[in-house]
Amino acid sequence: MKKKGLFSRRAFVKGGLATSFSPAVAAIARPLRKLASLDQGDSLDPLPDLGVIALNRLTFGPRPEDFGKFKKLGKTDIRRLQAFVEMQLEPGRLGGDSICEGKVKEAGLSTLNKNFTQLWADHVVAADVLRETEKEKISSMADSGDTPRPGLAKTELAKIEKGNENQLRLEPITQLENATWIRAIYSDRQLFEVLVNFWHDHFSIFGWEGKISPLFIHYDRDVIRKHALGNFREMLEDVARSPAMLVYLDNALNQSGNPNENYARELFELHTLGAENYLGTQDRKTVAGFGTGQSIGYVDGDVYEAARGFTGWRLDQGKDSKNTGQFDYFEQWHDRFQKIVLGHPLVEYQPPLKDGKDILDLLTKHPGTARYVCRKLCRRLVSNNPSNTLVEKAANVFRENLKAHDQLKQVVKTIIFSNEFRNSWGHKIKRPFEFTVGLLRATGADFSFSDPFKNNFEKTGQRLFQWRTPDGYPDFHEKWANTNSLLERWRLTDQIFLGGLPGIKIDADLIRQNIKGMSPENLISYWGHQYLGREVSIETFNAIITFLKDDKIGGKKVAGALALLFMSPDFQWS
Amino acid sequence: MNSSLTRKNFLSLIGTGIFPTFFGNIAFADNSNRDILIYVFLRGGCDALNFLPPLSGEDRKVYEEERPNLKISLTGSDALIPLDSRFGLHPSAKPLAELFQEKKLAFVHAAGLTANTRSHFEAQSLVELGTPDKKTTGSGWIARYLETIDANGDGYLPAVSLGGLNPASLLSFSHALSLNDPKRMNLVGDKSIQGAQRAALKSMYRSKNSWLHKAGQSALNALDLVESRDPNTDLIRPGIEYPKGEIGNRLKILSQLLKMGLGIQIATVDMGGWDTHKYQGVGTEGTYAKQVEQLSSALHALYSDLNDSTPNAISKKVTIVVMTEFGRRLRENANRGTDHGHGGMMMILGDHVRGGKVYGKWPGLHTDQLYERADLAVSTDFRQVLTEVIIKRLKNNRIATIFPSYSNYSALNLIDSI
Repeated sequence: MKKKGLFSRRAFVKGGLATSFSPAVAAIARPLRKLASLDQGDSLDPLPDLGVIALNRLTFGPRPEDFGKFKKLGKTDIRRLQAFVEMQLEPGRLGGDSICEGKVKEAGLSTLNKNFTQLWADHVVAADVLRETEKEKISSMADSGDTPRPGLAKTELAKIEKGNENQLRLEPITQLENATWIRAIYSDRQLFEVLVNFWHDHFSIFGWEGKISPLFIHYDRDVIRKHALGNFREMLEDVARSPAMLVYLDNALNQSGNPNENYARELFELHTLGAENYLGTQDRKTVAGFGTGQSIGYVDGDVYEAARGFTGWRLDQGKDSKNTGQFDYFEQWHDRFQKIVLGHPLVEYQPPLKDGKDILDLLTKHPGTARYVCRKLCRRLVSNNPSNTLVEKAANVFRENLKAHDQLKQVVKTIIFSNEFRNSWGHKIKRPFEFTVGLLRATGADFSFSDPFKNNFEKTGQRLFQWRTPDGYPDFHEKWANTNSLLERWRLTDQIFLGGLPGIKIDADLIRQNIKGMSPENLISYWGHQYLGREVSIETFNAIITFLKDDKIGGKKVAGALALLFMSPDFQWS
Repeated sequence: MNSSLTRKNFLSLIGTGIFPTFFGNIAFADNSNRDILIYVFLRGGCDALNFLPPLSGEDRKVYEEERPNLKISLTGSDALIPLDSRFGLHPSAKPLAELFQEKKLAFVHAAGLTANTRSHFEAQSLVELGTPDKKTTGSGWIARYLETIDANGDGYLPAVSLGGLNPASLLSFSHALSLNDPKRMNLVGDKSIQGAQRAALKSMYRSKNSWLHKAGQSALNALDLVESRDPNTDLIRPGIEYPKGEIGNRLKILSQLLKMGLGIQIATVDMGGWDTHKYQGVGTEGTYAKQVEQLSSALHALYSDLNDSTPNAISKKVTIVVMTEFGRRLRENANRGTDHGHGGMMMILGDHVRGGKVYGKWPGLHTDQLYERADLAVSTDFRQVLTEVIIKRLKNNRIATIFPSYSNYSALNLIDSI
């Protein structure tokens, strides 16, 4: 065995088997609590401690010290959970989040704190100017025969300049991606970060486009983060008015006469009522409730009427305006006549913005919206197929607090403090982002964002803000339990533990110290408690033991074994 | 013997000793005569009316009136390519025109999903579940097809999906391989660690049968299989150029996989970017033309790559079906784009296709003939086309299982039986 190996044969022998114990016994001995709404093929692992459940689903994954901290929060599980959630949802009680802030600062992300005006000036207007001057430069080359950069062909130059222009436009989203990773890993406000991630999926925008990227920092900070624990109606309107969404779903182009229905359709289907309340293309007058101004669901006719309602909601951009990029209501484009949405008439000649606001009100108040949004939240926080009972309970809180400034906080609490939350395990797996952040948190890795890391992570299929269509990354296990996603997780894990990715440092001493004087059996058991907060399953335990005892393996054996723990089914469940 | 495995390959596979249950797999052993189906899905709603614009008569007149800015012209450098007396092909689809003339390619116009929906996500899901009348079906149509042939992924890859996440058509089939790149089908680190890790993963993931474990098993099987086929040897025929971009890359990888002889029965390929609400472009300029160009040259490259003119050319055993969730509105919108519509089009490409013809009953573009007086109607249920391919090329009659609510099937006769 090479000296460099993190683990020597001697260490095994020294540890001996005397202190080892069988995890199988522990696993069997633990009572199997009844699981809620079991899907076919879900995990049959025993329900872990509430701390494990909470730390897996309400944070981006537990760090070794978190299990103990959770236990100290109260005398009973329920009290601990309450204390944990209250603390997480009252940012003030968590302090200044200084480690995270320090990490973000260290990363030198200059665009994060720019206000909208600066972002527009530096990344849109400046890029436009760059494009124009480069165009001139290139066309003057043709006239004079000069090359501004000797030896460069015209087409090459054009490519380079286009690159600079794009770089300028994409800088904000690039930096936000970096910051989002840092926050997910280091922030003390974990539940907040989890919910921000949820709302980014709910109001999903593809950010990696020159036109969107400069607007995305504002969208993340002043829309999603601002309202993630706040009021749904307020968030909905800020989304509707956000330059990023106006551009992404084309409402910036929506004008009277021949409206663009892209935004209106997704507003119904994805942001509020959801496809579960879509009744297709039938005549809207035939929908139950239409006559009383409360259609039970929506049809295409409602989408068209709503599209008319949002005509003129655009951004201040271009020739007939000041080009600030800000939200702008353009009266000349607005369709002033009567509309009927969900059976509810909007009279003609309403004051500015009133049509759109009325539609947002109607949608927010609709019981279908409460159910659809709450079902998604339950899926995120509890299980793949949450029970209708839980969804209804959350939806009631949603509806009872339509105007409350902390409506969404109350909904989230209702879901977390349910029996179903405490009794569900293994109906979900971590998605690639949760998996990777979870691994980095568990191992206490020192993280800074790098291109090789990004390139490897991207293959898992969940690069941040890169889902093209407006439905956001799926949250169903059916979509993530597949060969590609698992294989790329395994590869990424190996890259981190065996290959080495720039920017990621896992303390080698940590691994080495762990094994001092420990038998392989005890080592794995120790890892289980450190990183999973529970015993490793017997199958995973046996597989890693065999690996550790395999004499044919050269160096990095312990690192390879620890990697296996993160590649195992045990670490995927949540 | 499986189509994509020659006898020699088969024996060499056995020689590796990595497929303990190989012989036990009757389905794999007896599928001697089955085609491989490649199912390409154009996501976002491909504008069928600009893909196959009408070139004559009243329909042409209506088309030009409703699409003053977006119409594909009859003359000039950007003119459509005439296919027959009624329809032309988009000028950026020249590579497809070639295949059409060689009678390898057929179109079905006004084909698609009959359900009343203009939602992308719902329409895609209804198509892929194969039950236009039911949103909550628990399995995809391809998954049900694979069940009818007992495909279990033991020692071969019954289904691959190119596009990262498995599509709904494979819902409930846990042995599908979703794939980015066969060159990444390995673990990392030195050989001894890789081997031992793989053994460890096998013992973990084979110990139970949850959906997670099954996905792990499928990934591990795929690792073994792909590795045994040397994924690093480039099998693309010299001179074949796949276009750069999503669809080109995916079809290129697919070709490599098919040539590796992995026992693939069915492959799904996604191509996004068809949701052209604004500035979709005119003639050979703009977003839409670029999409058409990419798709056309990628399909052409794939077909040529598989058709090496030898008696054993893979192309003889492959049928390619292309479809989308819906077509787009007849009338262009104010932003020189088109909104969600209804009737779309399908393409069938392969050696046994009765190509060179545009199939399907043409519903017409007069207002009264349109779906809800706005969109091209659907005159051919997408299941009719798929059923014909399934019966004639996949040699499978279990249509009631694959498309449970589908009845009154009659063949369009667009493909020869095996």
